[in-house]
Amino acid sequence: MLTAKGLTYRFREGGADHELFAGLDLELAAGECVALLGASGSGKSTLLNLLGTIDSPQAGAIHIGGRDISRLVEPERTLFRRQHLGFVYQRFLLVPTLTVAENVRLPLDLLGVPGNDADARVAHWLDAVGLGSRGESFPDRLSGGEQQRVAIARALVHAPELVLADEPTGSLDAETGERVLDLLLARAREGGGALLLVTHSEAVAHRADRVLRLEGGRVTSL
Amino acid sequence: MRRASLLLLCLLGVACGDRRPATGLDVSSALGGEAAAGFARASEPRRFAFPEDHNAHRAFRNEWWYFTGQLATADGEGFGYQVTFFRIALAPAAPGRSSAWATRQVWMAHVALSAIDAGAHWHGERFARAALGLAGQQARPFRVWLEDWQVTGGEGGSFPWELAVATEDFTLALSLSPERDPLLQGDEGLSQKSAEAGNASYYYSITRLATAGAITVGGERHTVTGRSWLDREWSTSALGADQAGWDWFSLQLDNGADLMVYRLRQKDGSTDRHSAGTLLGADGRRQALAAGDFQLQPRRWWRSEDGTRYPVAWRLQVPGAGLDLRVEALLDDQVMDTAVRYWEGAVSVAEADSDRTLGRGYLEMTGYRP
Amino acid sequence: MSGSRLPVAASTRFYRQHPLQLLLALLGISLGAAVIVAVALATRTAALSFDRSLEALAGPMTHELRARDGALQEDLYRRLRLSGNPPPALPMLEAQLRIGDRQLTLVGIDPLALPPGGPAPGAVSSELPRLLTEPGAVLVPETIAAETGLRPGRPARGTIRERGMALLPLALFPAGPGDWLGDALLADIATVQELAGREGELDRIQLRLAPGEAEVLRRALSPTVELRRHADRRDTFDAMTGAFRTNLTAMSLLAMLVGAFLVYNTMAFAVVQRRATFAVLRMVGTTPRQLFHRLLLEAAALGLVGGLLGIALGLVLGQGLLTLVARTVSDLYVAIEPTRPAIAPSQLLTALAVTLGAVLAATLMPAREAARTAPVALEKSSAAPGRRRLQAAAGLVLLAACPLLLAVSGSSLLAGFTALFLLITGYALLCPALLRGLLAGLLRVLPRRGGVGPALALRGVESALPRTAPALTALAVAVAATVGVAIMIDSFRGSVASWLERTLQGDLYVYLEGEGERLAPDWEARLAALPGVETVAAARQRTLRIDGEPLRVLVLGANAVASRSFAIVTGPATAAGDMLAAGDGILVSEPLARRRGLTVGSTIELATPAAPLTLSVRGVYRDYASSYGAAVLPRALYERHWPDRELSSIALTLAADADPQALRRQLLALGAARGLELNVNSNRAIRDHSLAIFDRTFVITEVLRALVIVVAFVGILSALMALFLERSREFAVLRATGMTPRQLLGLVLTQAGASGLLAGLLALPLGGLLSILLIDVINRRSFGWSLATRVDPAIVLHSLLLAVAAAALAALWPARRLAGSDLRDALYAP
Repeated sequence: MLTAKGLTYRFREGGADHELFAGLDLELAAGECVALLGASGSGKSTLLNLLGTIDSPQAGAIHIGGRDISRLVEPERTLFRRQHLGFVYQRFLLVPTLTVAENVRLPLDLLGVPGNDADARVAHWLDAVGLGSRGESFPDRLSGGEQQRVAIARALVHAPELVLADEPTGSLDAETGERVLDLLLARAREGGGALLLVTHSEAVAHRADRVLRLEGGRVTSL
Repeated sequence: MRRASLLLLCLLGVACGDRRPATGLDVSSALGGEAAAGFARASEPRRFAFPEDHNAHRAFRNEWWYFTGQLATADGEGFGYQVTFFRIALAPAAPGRSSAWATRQVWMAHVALSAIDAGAHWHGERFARAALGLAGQQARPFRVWLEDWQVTGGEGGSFPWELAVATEDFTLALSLSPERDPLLQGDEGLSQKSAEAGNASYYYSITRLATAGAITVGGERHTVTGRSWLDREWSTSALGADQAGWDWFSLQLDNGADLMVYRLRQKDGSTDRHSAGTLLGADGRRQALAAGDFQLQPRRWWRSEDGTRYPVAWRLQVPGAGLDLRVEALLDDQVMDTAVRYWEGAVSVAEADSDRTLGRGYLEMTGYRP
Repeated sequence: MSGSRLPVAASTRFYRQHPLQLLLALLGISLGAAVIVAVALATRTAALSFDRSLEALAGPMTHELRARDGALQEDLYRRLRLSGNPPPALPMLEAQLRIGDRQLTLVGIDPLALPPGGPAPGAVSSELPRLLTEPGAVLVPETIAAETGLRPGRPARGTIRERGMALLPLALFPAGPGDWLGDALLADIATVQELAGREGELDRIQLRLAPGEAEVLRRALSPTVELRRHADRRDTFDAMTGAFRTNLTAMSLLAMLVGAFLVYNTMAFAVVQRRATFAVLRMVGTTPRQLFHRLLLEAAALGLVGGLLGIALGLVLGQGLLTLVARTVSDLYVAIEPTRPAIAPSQLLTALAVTLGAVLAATLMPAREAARTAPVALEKSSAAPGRRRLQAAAGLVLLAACPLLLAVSGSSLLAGFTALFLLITGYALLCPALLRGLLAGLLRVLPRRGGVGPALALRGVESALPRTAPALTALAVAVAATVGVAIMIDSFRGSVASWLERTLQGDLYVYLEGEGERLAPDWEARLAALPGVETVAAARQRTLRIDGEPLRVLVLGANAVASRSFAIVTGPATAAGDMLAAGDGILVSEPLARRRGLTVGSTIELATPAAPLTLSVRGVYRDYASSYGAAVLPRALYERHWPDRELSSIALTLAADADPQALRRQLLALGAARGLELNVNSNRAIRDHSLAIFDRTFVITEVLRALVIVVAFVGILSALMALFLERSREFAVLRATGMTPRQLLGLVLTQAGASGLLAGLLALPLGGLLSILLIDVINRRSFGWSLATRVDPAIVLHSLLLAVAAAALAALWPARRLAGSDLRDALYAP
């Protein structure tokens, strides 16, 4: 489903060039739940951005669903992202001026899913994350855990082939984090897409089907 | 006579009801409302002397020189024309004033041309003050003029008279010589117009003037000959308050007789008893006609653009002279759309029952309203 | 956004949550639009007012015959009338009539010559007999009757040219504004000739000519008579007032420019505030193009609403402005009575289009920035240094283009204004870089002296620059406009004052109030005979035709140099005295010389009652009395060619021991004895009066300038509010570390004041440049006047204070809100 080969990423900071990784390889099967472990600064988030068409590698190729996405330019990248990917971030990233239901609906809206169908899917996913009654609330009325559940619903509502989650429990207390993680894994499996879970927590990582480690610019299997 | 009434009706504000403009110069009311005090009145017969009486009589308030006539080219193309100069005094005496513009007299002129065969009628109107040489009348040599419209004669009024008029539509350059002596109308020239003493005018006509000259219209110059009729009348006041208008005929008959009749209409439509006329025989015999001596019946009506109905064909009977005539407009539309609106035009004269042509003339109708 | 309503909902809710920001943006836009609409309304109505007075003058007539100099002889009218088939022609003679203290115009016509069917007062015909035959008979428009108390049938007394006379009002007639012959007393021409003592004369003959007739007639005219088309007067009016109107329009565009900065500022901030939202939208699949369009759409909506509000506001504002414009046009050009305010729909559309254009242009950059938002903020990015350099470079290019344009554009006023806007825009683009440089300089100097306080404040200003630069730029532009205009007006006023000083050297001036009022020639000798009077110099103000153009000409005798001197701009300094003594030649004013390209030695043709005269220009003198141009003619020359001996004014110099006040009373009594209300004024009184008119002329400029400042103030207010909201967490940290609310308030106000000071300092060079452009380019190209530049230090000080005060005042409210806000909210805000 996902194949990344020979990824190289460099950036410039403080007047010097830094190389985050060179020749990185990664593979994910369809429907697979994979955790990526790594220390702070190891490049986990950057890798996620590369896979999410948010950033581009200097070298190497990324294929998702058989399509090379590493060389896409705007607006194809955005359109690809819109259709095939879902995101869950540590800081939830909800639109503050849209209601919970509207936030979840946003990807469907952009894809032009007709109103009735969209309504049903939004309702389904809000129920699925246990927020069936909070659809009309604005995000700032919700707790952190609830906000992240909204983000999970939004990441899954359009049934993407790949969901990228960056420290989804990072801003939550342990208990809440645990519950959110359960939900994410359960719903991701239910949805049938692959999930790449980036975390620095071994405990979180071991909930996945497979655990990878990013270290020194290389991905190793544990 | 008609012409007196035309102006006097204006003075009385009768004929001018259709023209009471907030815009434009309303001459009719301009001439109205002044007391007659200080002016001479026509109250008794006077001695006429010619050519002196061709000149202006400035002691009276109103006066006119009224030419009408029918002319034709050598190949028979027919025209009718009218050239009229009115003198109107605003005050009986002129105060001493230093401006050359100061005057007590104003002049008005109406001119018209009917092209019978072309079926067209044009007319013009002008006003000017009798100052600065803009308008006036002088005796030596004889001249009546309003700007460049004028009639000129010889020293002391001798004929022929030259008539010159130019408007943007047509020009007239005609030479007129009388074929008959002046005819004194009414009672030796005193023409009573209503019951009140002094409501009368002095009135004479030259019923036949041989006329020759040129008419230019539409850029084309026509050499014409024919016959004109001159009316001269002066007065200070004439019509009574209940008179509404008149129908006036000046006819030149082929047998050498000339007939003038006018019917004064009362406001109720009846004929005023001061209606009158004169028949001048070919032999020079003059026969005065009183209101009861002739009858007039409209035979055909024509409706003008503004909706006014004019009787453009008449039956005129003078039983005492054995005349039964059909008088009919040569052209229906000969309306004078001037400050005072009236109908004045060339007419044919025929025997009433046989339609045999007996002569020609001019007809004037005033006081008709939409 | 292809059918998606959610982002629109997000925008609307954003503005609903930030109503003040929305309000300020709308206020800025609508103020800019309002000023444009107001100026358009006022200038258009002024032009319409002139049209109306022209209609009142021309009525149904198309042309006018006039003598090239003096009066027409009435015989011309007779000849015209007696020529074959004359066109409609109305002879006219006018007289200035005084009834009580009212100055009226009496128009004599020939009522019989009124064109048939055309408009004319009804009373003319109903009163015709008496109008023609009664001496002194007049018809009175109802408006004038209401003002003067003239009543039909009640004789009245009036004065024409020092002669009392009896008038007999025959009737009143209704006359609406713009009605032909509706603005004056009407009489028969004979009456006016006699009342004015002008037998044999006419002022003009109005004609209604068909196309083609004019040329035929013109060929037949003698050279002393000229035929003019009424419509040409409109062209003359447009030409005379063109520069004035262009100046007003430019001022209104300046307001819009400042407004555009404000919009830029608002939109830029609105983008920054929603960067997180944009990032999410990008993440879930919104394309950059969609974001860009959406922002433009938002701006268009704001522009539309603001523009419509501005139109409404402008229509109100315009009425006030109209009074000022009409007064200025009347003071400077021709007397107009303002008509009902009128504005063409096309002008409203133009105002709306300019507003929308400005708003969209101002939004382009923020919208592009928004479109560039990375999906999930990669890093905080402000204008990248590369873009900043590009912007500064563009600014430099515009600045460089400015003198280039001026050099090649000759005397084009449009080019002058283009240069003005190039200068402002170029400088504005340069402003952020200059601000940074200025601040860096200050930071290098400051920390050595103060503790953390000032440095903290200045660093705060520096770090806020990406946010505040547009608003500070707007403030700088507004303040610079203030400085530039103030220096221009001040220089102008100074130049006029010293010109008046120089021109008015007599001790007392005697004249009659009112255009065309003249003194009898014997007054000169009578005044000279008075004890205490040292010299007497009479002057005539006449409108003469120079090279076919009517111009005001001052006729002076050789003795005038005692009471009047001329500042010669071109030619020998003694040119005036030499010319007056020699009795030959002509002196032309600076605007005339500039407009017609005249210099010493040029020849001009002067129309006289006989053959035209060719005169040589002896000098060009400074003159601020007319922007259209004027000239000075020696009295000896005038009297050789004109029969007219009447005088316009007499200047007296007094003996050292004379009592001016006593002499003044004596002169007034002398006048009263002749039934005259003489004006006897000291040079000081005249100077003060002239300067009062001058100041009145510039009231409108001051008003517009104030409006520009208001727009800028709104800008700085919204910018600072935006800034402080954005930095509330930073301030919360300061509070948390122990800063009291009062200290924080102080810090914030210091920062705001410092920002204002920066803007003020930036404004000074631009203000200076603007004043140079206004004085040496705009003024010269508009009016032909050269001014001595004067820079009052007070102006500089005031503008700095203005900038600081505006910024501090604008910061006060947000700062207070901030100081009083809940610490926890600020610290834990997402």
